[in-house]
Amino acid sequence: MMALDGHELSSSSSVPEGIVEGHYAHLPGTRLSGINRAPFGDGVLVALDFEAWALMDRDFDFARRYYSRSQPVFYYSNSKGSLSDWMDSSVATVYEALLLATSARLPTPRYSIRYGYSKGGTVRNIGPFERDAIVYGTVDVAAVLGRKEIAKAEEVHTFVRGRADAFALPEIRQAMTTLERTALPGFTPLNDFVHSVIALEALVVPDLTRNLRESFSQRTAVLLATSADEIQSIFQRARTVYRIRSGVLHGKMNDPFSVFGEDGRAVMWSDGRKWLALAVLRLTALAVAIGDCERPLDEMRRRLDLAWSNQDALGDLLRVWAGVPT
Amino acid sequence: MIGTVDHGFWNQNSELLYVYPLFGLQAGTMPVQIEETRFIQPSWWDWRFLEKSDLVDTVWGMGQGAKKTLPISMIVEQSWDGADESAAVDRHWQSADEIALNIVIALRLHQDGEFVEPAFTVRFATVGSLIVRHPGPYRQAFYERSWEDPYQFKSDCVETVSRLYRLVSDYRSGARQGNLDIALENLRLSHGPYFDDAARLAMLFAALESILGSLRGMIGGVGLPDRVESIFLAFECDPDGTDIWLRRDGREIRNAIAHGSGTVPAEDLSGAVRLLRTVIRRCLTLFLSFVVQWESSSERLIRGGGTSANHSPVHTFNHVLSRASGRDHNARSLLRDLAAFE
Repeated sequence: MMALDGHELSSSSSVPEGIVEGHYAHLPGTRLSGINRAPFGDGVLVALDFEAWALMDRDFDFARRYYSRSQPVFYYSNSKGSLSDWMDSSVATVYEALLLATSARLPTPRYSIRYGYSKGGTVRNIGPFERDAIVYGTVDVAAVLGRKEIAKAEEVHTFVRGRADAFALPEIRQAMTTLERTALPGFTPLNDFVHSVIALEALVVPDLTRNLRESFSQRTAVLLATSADEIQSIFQRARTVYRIRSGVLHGKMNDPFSVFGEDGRAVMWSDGRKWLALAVLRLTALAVAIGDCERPLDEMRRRLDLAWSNQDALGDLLRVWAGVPT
Repeated sequence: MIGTVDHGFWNQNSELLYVYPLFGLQAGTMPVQIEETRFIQPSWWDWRFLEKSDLVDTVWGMGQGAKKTLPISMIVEQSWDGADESAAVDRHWQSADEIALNIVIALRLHQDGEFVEPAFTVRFATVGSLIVRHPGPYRQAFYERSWEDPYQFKSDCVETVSRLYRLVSDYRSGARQGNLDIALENLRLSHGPYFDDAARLAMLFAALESILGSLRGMIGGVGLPDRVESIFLAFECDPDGTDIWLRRDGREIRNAIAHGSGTVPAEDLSGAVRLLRTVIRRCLTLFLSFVVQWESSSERLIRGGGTSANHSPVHTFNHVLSRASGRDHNARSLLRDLAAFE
């Protein structure tokens, strides 16, 4: 390790070697691949080695072997304010970007530890994972981040930061809450899928009581397609997703895996969370495109309906989607 | 993670023991036996040999642990032929975990109250000189926790929890129902540590709707609140306004949580959690009994619901509830029998 205790970062995108003054938040469920540090947002994603971490947290000096296996990742930035404020602003946005970009089950960093490190001492703020997620890797690795994944997450991060008002819409917040909540320990993939699809329904068809499957599939197809060519195939997949959701919830399908085989498993794993994450990004972009509106989600759903049957309206939406990181 | 035992309770016999701490659970006289599972109060020395001593000393401070109350723990014993210790531990983890999970579900179905599932904290296995530890995500989080509403496992719980355990075991060892598994998981998760009440309600509404369908849906011409009333009557309990709450406040809260719309006072949310858990505990107990019965003989159940063998158990279950709501004597009698689940 190159110990850089006391070394100041010269700019926000500098990458710390070892450890420098500033704030560090553990990002549970992540691991870096092929790199051990990368600029991200106003700071750096960094896989601190044991010696660097132990400078901030000396209570677990017996745990080097476990720590080395766990390979924890931290978000660092050269901040000097309160840890809580930093978590609520910078880290919250970094976390949301990673959640949306990977759609992986990443538990919130609030549950692990953050450190404010300075020459004068270290401030620690410890969440319910205590140190175990760092030392023993008690949270499963859900996202392996190489250069490509980090570049995509960086793009989403920029997108999220530039659309704070749209992200604050209650329906969007609720969808983000579902993505965050279902990433916590205890959710099985099936239950994660069910909650994700319920949240997607709450975004696209809360105004309807009839023909839910068709309407859900149509609006979802328009919302998630990147080109007109994709609409029919996504429409069919959305019908499958809704069929699995209803089958599971209403007891008509005891084992979706056996009904749909490997496809069923893929639908569950990928489409529940992935679709919800993409829906959040695209509806946020649409909210910005619509501008001031008393009931923005109602207007968005109206445009989704229109685009299903009107090529011009579809073209308008596809142009909005083109500005959304995918 | 492996350590060795050189003395203490755990190697006074030559059995293979799996140990599941239940942080939060409070009980009277120990030990208690639930079928093949023992509940014990570990001593400080027991705990120190089970858990990593350096970790315990870090959490509590060197030597301070002896003054603390250790979590009551479930012990699941498995047979051991004296052969390779490590292989024996690995071989029986899954069946021991199943037994422990069935007990946890039975405890959740029996009554409200806080305890943390062992899968979230830590599980141990010990045989001969070997200890194996499986840490969970909240391994250290509950050592110093004060509990507002701890689970009170009193001696008069034992008989009912034993019966519920047998019911749950029968169900989980037979043909499983996806919607019932989802409902049971969401009931358990609603007790999960660190969730707020809105999150707990999202799980509880998912549990409710996976058995009884949508809050606004009708089955056999009967709405969900009236079918909930039938469930209470099966247990000879007064619904105590629950049906009315589901028609009005419950629906409003459900929509507020699902859509992020409106604000609900915090006390309404916590009251809703308690109320919904009461509904779901009864609903799931009755449906578990229904499904276990369905496995052995579905004829009376199908007759009670006026459905056919082509229909799913949950479809028939809801039709029985609907008929009972319409004062159908046979449906009511059937539900009372199921509620006794002997």
